[in-house]
Amino acid sequence: MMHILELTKTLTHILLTIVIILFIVTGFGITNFRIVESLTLGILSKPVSFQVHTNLTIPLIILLLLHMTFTLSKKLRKQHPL
Amino acid sequence: MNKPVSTLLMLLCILILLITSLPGCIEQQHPKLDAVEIKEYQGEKLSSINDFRENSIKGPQRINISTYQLTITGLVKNPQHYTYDDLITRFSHYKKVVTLDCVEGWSVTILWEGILIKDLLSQVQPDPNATTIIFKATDGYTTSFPLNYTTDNNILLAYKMNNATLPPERGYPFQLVAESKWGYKWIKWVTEIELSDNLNYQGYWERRGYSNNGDLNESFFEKWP
Repeated sequence: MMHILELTKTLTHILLTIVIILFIVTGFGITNFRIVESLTLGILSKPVSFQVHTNLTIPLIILLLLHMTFTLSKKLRKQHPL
Repeated sequence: MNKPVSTLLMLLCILILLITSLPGCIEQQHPKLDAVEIKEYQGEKLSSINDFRENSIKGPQRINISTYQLTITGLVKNPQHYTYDDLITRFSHYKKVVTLDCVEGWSVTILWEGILIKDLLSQVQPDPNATTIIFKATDGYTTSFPLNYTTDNNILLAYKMNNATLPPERGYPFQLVAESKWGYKWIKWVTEIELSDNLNYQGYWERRGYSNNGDLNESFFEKWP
């Protein structure tokens, strides 16, 4: 059980990092599309950035909430050990 | 520090000051009076010309107005080529306050002044088979509308915003005021208007997945690009 929990925590932190980076890059892909499109060799065009950025909103919120829950519960356990 | 060195440094500072202030002096000699924009119109607060974000496909275009021509071709009986002065002097001017809503999330409310597309079309006599009006710009940007959208809604081809002539960044000499449409339908630097019977014509962003009708009350995405 503890093993699964630790794995979930690690996975959440890694996924959150990836999602945040993607969120920032696609945000730039919308507002500075000429630069981002040429840097990514046309892969990250403005419409693609829009789609990815919009669809990342809910995963970002869920991962952020999970990340906060794990971090807060860890702090609480440290302050009030069983 | 010895005297000759400090004198030399002082002279150098004066020279730098003179060089940096020169462009300002030159600009002051030729003030652009037409660029005084109004902030309010009939009690309605207006956005500033500087509130726009630059998001054109190839950056601001600089058009030589002495060689500029607006061409109206396609399914018309009487194709025309107009110079900037032709358009400004031969057609009636209209003003209206319209808000541009960009897909990026920002919007601007501007007093637009221009000529009616309807008036231009009456000169070229559209063919009865013409159903679509295609706008083309100097940077290769294109967009289209059903022909009756431009005539039924008194759509303007604007040359002034907030009483000031459009700056190059905003589409000088002409920007389309595609009211009730998303910002990507507001084509700038218009050089050609083509009438067509192709109802499925797709413009620059439309080919990349944006909605062809571009209505503000609908999503701007038609499909995954």
